[in-house]
Amino acid sequence: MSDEVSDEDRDLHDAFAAVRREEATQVPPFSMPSRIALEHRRRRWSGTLVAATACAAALIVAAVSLRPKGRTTHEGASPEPAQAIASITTWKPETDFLLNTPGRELLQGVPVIGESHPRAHTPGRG
Amino acid sequence: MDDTELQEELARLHSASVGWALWCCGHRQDEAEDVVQTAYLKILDRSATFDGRSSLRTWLFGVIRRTAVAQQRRHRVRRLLLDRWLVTEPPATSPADPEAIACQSDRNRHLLRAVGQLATRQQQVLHLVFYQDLTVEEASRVMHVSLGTARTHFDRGKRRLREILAEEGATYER
Repeated sequence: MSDEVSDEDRDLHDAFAAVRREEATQVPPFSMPSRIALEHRRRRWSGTLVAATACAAALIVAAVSLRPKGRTTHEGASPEPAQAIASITTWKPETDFLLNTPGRELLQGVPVIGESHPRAHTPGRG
Repeated sequence: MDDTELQEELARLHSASVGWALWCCGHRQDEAEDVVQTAYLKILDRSATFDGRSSLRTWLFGVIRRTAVAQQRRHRVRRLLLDRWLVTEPPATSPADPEAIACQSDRNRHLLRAVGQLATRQQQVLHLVFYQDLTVEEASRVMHVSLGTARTHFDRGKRRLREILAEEGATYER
């Protein structure tokens, strides 16, 4: 009996000891596991390790191949944005001629006294 | 310690090991024998090594406890998967297997049923101290808890066990 088991716990100790005696009769004989079982266990672990490594490699390959390609760095940026900017600056709208109104030249500078301007052509007149 | 010495020690402690494994597996004999064999395998292939920091028995019981916990976790996952795929599987037995307990004598059955109502930690510490004659400190090492925690489980477990035994005794007298 352990030193920590006091006399007042003797009843519990004795009750457990009775269970121990009864269970001891049902204990199977001692035998160490065979070498075959040991090899089987080692193979199982190595198989698990190989499978785990293969899964990890497959995940890495999948992640690399499925990575989104939209975001790139400045160095590797495609020429498409620069071309788009250039085309916007050179673009002329088809309705630009509508802005050529009669007498437009009068408004392009400060008028000077004594200087004459050719008479503006206005549609519908003489 | 070489393999021969280790095997001799394991043989000497075999009965106690099976007893501890039985309690770790809710008195399911087949599971307990599997746990003991798996624990021996771990020791044989050196995935569990004795470093001499505690007694061999304390260390061995710790290996058995961890093996039982891992086995029960595997069984739980398997049961969950089997239930999901509607494969017929016998229902999970309660921690204290009534069929196994039925084989015990009346008095022992009474005690086992009462112990089965305690929390797992309380069951374990009572078993280690009363059944295996370990000190509470050694039990705390086996259970991988602090000494204070083990003492608390030990005191509460004893108190609760006495209450249950008294209640059941009163019921039988009626």
